[in-house]
Amino acid sequence: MEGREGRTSLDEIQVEEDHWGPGAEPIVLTWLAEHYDENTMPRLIVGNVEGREGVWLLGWRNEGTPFPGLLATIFGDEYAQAQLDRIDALIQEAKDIPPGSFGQGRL
Amino acid sequence: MNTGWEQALEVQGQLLKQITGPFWREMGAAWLGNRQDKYGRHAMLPSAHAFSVAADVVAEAEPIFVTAEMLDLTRSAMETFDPTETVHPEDFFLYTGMALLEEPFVALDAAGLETAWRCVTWRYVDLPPEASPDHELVPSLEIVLWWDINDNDGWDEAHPDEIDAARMFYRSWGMRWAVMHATLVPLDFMSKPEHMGNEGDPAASWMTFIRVFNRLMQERIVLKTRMRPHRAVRRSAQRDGLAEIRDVVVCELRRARPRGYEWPETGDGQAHYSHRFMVRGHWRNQWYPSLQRHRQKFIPAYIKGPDDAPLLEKKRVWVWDR
Repeated sequence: MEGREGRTSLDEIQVEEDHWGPGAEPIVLTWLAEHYDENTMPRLIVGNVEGREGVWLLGWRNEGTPFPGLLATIFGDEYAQAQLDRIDALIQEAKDIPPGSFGQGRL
Repeated sequence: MNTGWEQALEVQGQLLKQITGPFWREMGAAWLGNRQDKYGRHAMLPSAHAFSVAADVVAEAEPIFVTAEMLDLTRSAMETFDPTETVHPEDFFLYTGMALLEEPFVALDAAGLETAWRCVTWRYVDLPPEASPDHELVPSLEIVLWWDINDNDGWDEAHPDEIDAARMFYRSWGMRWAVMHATLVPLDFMSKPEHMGNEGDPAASWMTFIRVFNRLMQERIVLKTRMRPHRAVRRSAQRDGLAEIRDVVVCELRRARPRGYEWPETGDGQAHYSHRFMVRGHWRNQWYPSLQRHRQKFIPAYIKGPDDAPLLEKKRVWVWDR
């Protein structure tokens, strides 16, 4: 997935529920349609995923703005923190791969 | 059954047929459950991924037939290949391949028993950044090693009951090709021996084989010829489910005399070789300005002897040229 500069229609955007949480897609898309204002809010970050069609929502560029992260803006701090903790745990799990995990075992 | 290079397409069809058949899920569940019991969840999950994409990988793969001579060259080149060299996407000659070996590849397991597999399928993929602590794409390979249950190896003698039972199960499922190993490996891990070895092949020769084979395929000494199988073979593969029938890539040693090749002088001015033989080959750690890094390059062996003579297995001198 690569961040992308440029214009993307909201209709094109898809939401990766592994990242945003189960059932998040309709909530996120509805929120964007009803509340998102590109003139006053941070720019959205979207990306392409190898092997998948469409563009996927990553977040928004809120550094230096009064806005919290997009996840927290839509779902609130508590939910956002829980999601981030979950993702951190997954990443940590992926980092701590025991030796031999990819090796050929005995049948 | 075909006995030559056309087998590659035939086997590709057989693999697809058994993967899309009624018992693949049952076999996979048993296989993955066994792997999780023995080696834990971390070892099972990459295998589960490889099982889940196996049909796509086989269907997309370029069928390759690896002659016994090519296999011999690969094994010889493996002896001095440095497996700790960092792996890059361009190391793979084919991003999606199915290599059928004319003879089984034999490795030693942790008990010193020979284990044999005959076919390998692989596909290069970029995993999404969620899989990475650095939030970057993760270049990886989906790999399955296939054991032809008609092949014998060291386990037949050491564990005849176990092997008989395994063969019986696979036959009852209508499968000739048993999964010897299945995994999804990020390229970053391929150069880390501690992650690539396990009881079935502690030296991780299966991984080195895939790497060296792909590297040799980029070399001139290896002749890659696309061959169209006979119509009956193509139709049979179509019936097995292959939507796109590709020509078979036959990999063999180049038989034309290489540049600089000189027949040795003899008394009557004639060469009298009854065999072909490799004189020497080695890996050179060469700087690639375009890549801005060193990379092992295979300096091919000389091959001497008449083109139609058999290749003689001889002990060679391989050197590391740094």
